[in-house]
Amino acid sequence: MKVNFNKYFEIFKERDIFPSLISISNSKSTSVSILNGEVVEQKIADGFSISSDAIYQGKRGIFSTDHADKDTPLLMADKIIESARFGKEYKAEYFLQEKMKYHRLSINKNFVPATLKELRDCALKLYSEFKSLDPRITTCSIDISMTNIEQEKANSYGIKAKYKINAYLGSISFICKDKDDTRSGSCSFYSLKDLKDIEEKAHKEVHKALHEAIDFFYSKPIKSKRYKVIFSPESFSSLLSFYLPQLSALSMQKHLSCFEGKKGEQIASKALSIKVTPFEPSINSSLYDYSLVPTKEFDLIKNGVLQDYLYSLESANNEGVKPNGCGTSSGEGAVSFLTIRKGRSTLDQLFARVKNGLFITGISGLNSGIDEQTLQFSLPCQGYEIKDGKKDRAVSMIIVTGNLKDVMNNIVALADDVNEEMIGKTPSVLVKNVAISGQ
Amino acid sequence: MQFSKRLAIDVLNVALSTGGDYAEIYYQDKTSHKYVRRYRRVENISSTNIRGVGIRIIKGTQQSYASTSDLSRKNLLSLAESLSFAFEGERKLSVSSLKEKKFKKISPIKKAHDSMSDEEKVNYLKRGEDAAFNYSDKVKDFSGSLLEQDEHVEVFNSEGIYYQDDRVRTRIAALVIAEENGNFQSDFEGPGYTKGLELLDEIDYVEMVKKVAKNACDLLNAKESPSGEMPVIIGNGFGGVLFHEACGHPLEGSAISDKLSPFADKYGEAIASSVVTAIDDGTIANAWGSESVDDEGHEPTKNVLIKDGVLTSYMLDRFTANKMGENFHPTGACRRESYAYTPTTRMTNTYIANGTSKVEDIIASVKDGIYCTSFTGGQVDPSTDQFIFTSSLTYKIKNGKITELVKPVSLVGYGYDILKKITMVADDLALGPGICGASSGSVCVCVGQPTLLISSILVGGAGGNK
Repeated sequence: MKVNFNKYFEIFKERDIFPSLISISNSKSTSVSILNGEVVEQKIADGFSISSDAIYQGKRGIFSTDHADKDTPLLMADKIIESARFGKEYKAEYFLQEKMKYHRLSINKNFVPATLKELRDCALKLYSEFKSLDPRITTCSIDISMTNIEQEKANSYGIKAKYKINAYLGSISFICKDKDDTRSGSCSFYSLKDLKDIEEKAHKEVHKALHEAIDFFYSKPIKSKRYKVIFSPESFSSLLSFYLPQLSALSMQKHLSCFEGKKGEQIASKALSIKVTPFEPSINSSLYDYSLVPTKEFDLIKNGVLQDYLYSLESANNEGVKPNGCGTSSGEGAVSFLTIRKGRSTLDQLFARVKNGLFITGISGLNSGIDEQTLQFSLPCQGYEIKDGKKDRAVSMIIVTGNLKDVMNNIVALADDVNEEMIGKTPSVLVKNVAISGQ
Repeated sequence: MQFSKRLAIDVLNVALSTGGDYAEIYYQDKTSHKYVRRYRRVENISSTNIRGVGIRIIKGTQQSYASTSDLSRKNLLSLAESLSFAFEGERKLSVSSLKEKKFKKISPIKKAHDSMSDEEKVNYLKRGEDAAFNYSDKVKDFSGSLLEQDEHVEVFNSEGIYYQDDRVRTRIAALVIAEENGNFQSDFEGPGYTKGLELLDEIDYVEMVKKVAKNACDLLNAKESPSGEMPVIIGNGFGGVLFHEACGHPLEGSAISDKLSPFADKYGEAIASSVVTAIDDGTIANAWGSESVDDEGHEPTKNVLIKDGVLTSYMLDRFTANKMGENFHPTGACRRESYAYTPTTRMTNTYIANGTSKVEDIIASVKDGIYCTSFTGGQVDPSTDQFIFTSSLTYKIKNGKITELVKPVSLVGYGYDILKKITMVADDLALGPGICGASSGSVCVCVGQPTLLISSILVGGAGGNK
């Protein structure tokens, strides 16, 4: 759907709504799901959303909907006024007022679109290749989708920006059975190029996932005690994604962050350095934040020292500092993509250094097992025992427990095996003194 | 009626042009209002409206689905045509007329959402805020919210029927964060029902907030919880998240019909201890997970899944029942978050039925274990049935007596294993509302159970072996 921003701004201004920000998103996706070699579902999704964020009589009003027709500008104006009546006090400075330069990023220049039939053929081909890898695979489902998203933002000060991304997204989940034991595995992957590229990525990820699932047949827990633990890139990034919200400047200003007043201080082990890297070509690359502030690269944590908080335009204004492009609709700061500085050791060298400990390769229960306020966690996980400096038997039905602040402080070393996860690029991380519940 | 019957007939006929056995149009218009008080002020009053259509075609054991918020005739006909290309074949069915099917309303509404002003609603939340901050100076923050949902649904299908339903839901919640010497703790409670603003009269919000504040403050001094395998008492109400995660999801049609569940071939077999009877009941008036009609035109049922330990039923929708064969029928639990999601079988109000034990006898029977009285949620891998759920309020039990509060713990196990380890079930059944996320999006559900004892379960605490 096309939207004439000026029409909205005119109507808003007539109703004394100023300034305002309008965000629209148009998405189209086609997807195919197959189960055990049979197509079970084909889907076409045509998505649209429009939201506005504005000031009416000094207070903030917000509204969003998924359709735009001739009545929508008036509807939005009414809803903004309704919302602002009891909304929080809001300042015009929370809206970007001067034009800024945005980074140029072309991550999609080689994107080749596919038809529904080509998606179907790709999924079926992946199925037959995957099924032949091991006779113990009893069930396999594959989802492949092609998505096109166009996002556009404009505010009533004439600042405008647009971002478009095309991607193929895929996921494979499977069940393996060996006599009395059942294991499941899954992996997901994406491509910003073409179906051939997503096939290659699928092969790489699915081999890894299958290998792990098979390893875990008849695996048993390990004794309950504190261990030296190496977290795989996937498991460490899962934990880190719950730690970062505490670095939001707005949380700090509301005295709800355990890192309040810690800028320039040691908040993690010296081994940990995290850089915000929004321009890394990925599905999460970003050029601007919620308020149209350009994103930028910067050090977040360097050698364990907190370099800066994550600022929105609102929280930056509250402190009289420059925003760093991390704003979200709530005013909290968030990171779109980050890079953790890798270590010099290989993963095998880290195993040797640990001597006896645990390598955690998968963590689950993230939707309920971590308290984002207290950073306490208690999560089921699986992995491998490290014995005499080598990866040994598979271990499952164990729970890793602790506080994320302690995990970050207890980092001993990082490996050089960087992997791209949803949150960014991260290597395996060695942490001492981690509580494990098992036998 | 908001969607034209004439247009519905035309769209259904285009969708059926390549031999579909069934086609359906789902129209949804849903408005959500949220009032939030936080940081000692109104944080926001926000509203969202979604209005769109989902078109589904079923042919044998395959289905195709399209969704859009562009409701123009041209776009809908074009989308139906594109969707029909998912299949190859000749037309088998066509639709010439649509007749309305009426359903009994199971959740009457006494006070509509517009019967109170914004000011009154904000002041209602303010009373909770005052109660939280007056409770203790350790209370650092209070977040109180009121959620109102008004949804209108119309469904038209190739069997020549259409129906409409209005769904009104209200939820009031409180989150309190306490802090002492840099140590933060929190607690939450959020009752919700398929009813209107009468909920605000029925609940003592101030008392509820005081309880939440007390729990958050008490947790500041809680010791590390024990770990390892031990007997665990699960408290009533939201403790039912255990059954929801461990057994409810693996009994849903999609997991059963695709044989992805450990219970797939266990119909008629003993899968739980004989003290366990479990039910998915979409007929409970005004319950958070109840709807007068499901998202494909079936009335809700009281579906006894497990009777005295024996698996007696599954939860099925039209598509999954088709896949299961002629002896299986939809159970009225086909649900979706919105028109953007393909509908599938989902739980409604799922609970373990009352037993005959008394809570005090259950506590007295435990020599060394824990008692979990409040939960934040959980999740399950339906293929292996491994689950986790997190207890936010946990007490140690020594020699049959509750001793001290400990920090939150996770409980991990396999559903099929835990069902056999339930040894005592009390008579204090209660339900608790939650939001369940799965393939057809996030839907409102109730979980529930009486207090019960599991003889052994893996507990994850940082306090070392008990």
